Amino acid sequence: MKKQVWRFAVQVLLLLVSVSVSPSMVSAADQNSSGSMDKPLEIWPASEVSQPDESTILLHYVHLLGGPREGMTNPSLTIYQDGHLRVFYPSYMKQSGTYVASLSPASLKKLWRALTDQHLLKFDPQKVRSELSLLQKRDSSEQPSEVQSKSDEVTTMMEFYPNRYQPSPTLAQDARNEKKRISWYGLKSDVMRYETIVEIQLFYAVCEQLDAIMQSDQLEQIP
Amino acid sequence: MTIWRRFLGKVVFAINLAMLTSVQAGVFMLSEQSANVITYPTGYNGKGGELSVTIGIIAAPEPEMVISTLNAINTWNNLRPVLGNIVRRSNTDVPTGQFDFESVLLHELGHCIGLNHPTMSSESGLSGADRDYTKTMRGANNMFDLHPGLDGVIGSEDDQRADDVNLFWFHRKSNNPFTNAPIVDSTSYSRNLQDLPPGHLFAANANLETARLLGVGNSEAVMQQGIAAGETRRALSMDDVATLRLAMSGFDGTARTDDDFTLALEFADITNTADITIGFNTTGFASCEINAVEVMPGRFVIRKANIHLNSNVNWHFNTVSNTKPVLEIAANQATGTVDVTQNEQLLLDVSLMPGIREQDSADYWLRAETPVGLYWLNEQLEFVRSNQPIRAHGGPLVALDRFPVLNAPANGLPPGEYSVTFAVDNNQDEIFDSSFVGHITINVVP
Repeated sequence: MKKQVWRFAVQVLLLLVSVSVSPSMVSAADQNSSGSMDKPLEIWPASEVSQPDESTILLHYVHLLGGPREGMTNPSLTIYQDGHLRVFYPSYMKQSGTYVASLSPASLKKLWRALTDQHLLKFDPQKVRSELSLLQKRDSSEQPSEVQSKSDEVTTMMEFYPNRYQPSPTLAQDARNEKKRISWYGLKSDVMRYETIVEIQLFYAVCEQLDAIMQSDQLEQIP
Repeated sequence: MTIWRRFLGKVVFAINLAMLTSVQAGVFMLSEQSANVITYPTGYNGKGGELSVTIGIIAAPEPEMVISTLNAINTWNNLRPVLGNIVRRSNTDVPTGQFDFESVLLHELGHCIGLNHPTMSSESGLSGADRDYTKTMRGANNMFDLHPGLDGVIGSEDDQRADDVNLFWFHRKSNNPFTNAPIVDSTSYSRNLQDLPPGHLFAANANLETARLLGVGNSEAVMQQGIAAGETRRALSMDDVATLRLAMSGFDGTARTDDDFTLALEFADITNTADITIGFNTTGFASCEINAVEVMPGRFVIRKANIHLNSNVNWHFNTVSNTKPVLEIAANQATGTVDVTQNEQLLLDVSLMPGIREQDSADYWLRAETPVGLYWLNEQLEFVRSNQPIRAHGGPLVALDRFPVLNAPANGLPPGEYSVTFAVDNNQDEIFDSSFVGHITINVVP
């Protein structure tokens, strides 16, 4: 019962986040548009393929696979300020190569709202891990016999620049390059196991959208 | 002469290591539950004897995966530890852009029968070389304390880990992860750092760097997380074998008692009802998911295990069964039929993959049928003319990777066809049986 109440509370919070606006990041005109993250982001074929400008990266997202040796490349997604995006699959994957596409302005805005939610901006993975350890100990004392474990899960890593979307010309360079990094091992398993932890639920909701981008049929491979 | 001595030297070195080594244990699945956990394969109930665990394939998108699967099963069933189990041959059968399915499956099967990573690995949240520290839980300060000690090697005996809680079962006498004990149980292995040999600060694990430090290069626990594309790790290390043997000492943790068991993994073909199933999905890389029950404090028994591998990864499926040794002989890095001109250098090398027969007693032979008669390589590395077989060496089967047996100008060889056979016997009786052979034909032309 207690778990169901928590689940409901988290769902309400996710809904609120999806329609809320971070005033410092999104202009007033944007505030009327719907920002629900439960609909897929709209992806367009890339209009042009230009050399990526590293200084305009908004977000870099990587699946750090558990099996390959440390140092090998991993599947990744990079989204730029103008909505252009690049997906990379390493040589050991069947989709091997670099792909381009573009996020519609509305989708980019929607994604940005979700990313700049205060829960994500303040997400401290180590602190949340400690909370999970406590929950785990409580669960194991309540149900001591049955346990699950999964080896070699993916570490989901996301880096984004909260001050780069619609940047102010007066913004200092340091602030513009301020970066938020979130890294989580076994995200999907923990999302299912710990439905009351808001931060990882929100993080997972964003990651699901990014995963959908990485699998989109609008992606165009470039040489 | 010198070359053959090097060959014999390598064989003798491997034999000596095999005799001297003692099995070193590692970490068990579910060790995150509490430090003293030992996890047992499906079906173990405290009764001794043979424990049968079935392994089924949910669907077989690649027919070749059956051979790789059988090989991995054979390897766990045989429990023969080797040194030098990391193979990165320039002409490996695994292309650079592919991962060896058999090696990865061997690792995941280890998880499914209860073995964990011996090192911190990706689940720790650490990155880079820090993942090679011996597996621990956080101590009272709620952080991992990581210092490689004076030797600078991460995961070695002098690591300084402050209050981190060790999860690794080490050999009390040696704390050497590449050595062998006749008895593996809680009397000879411990997790308690107070049981370390004098002068040792922490439990050493079997990662590549500690192997180099201890002079046993290219060796690593199969349960160590991470493998490179184009690389194979198809044989168990001492650490893998010891961890399982520790579990095999039963719930009482004492070997040679009634609750000891031996493990028999059995292939159940295409089914989703086996104790361990193997299937494919499109996420991650490869993983094993287990459900287990704590049957007594700190003693977990796996109920069901599922392995998933990402079908989007370029997998290499080994098509050669490991039940028989594979031999290869190459001339100037080519096999089959090779033309060599008299003004060239001739490099002859041999390779041997013993499979699960590693350490079996064997006779080694190298025979050359030449335009001027039959020659044999003797123990002094001399090709001698003889119509009777001459043995090159008697000893255990060991892995040889492109080992040179001749490197000389071809101008000393009369033109014609040379048929060269590298053979090993499945016994050591000095009688030429040629149980397993590799062959090459060399045409020496003016």
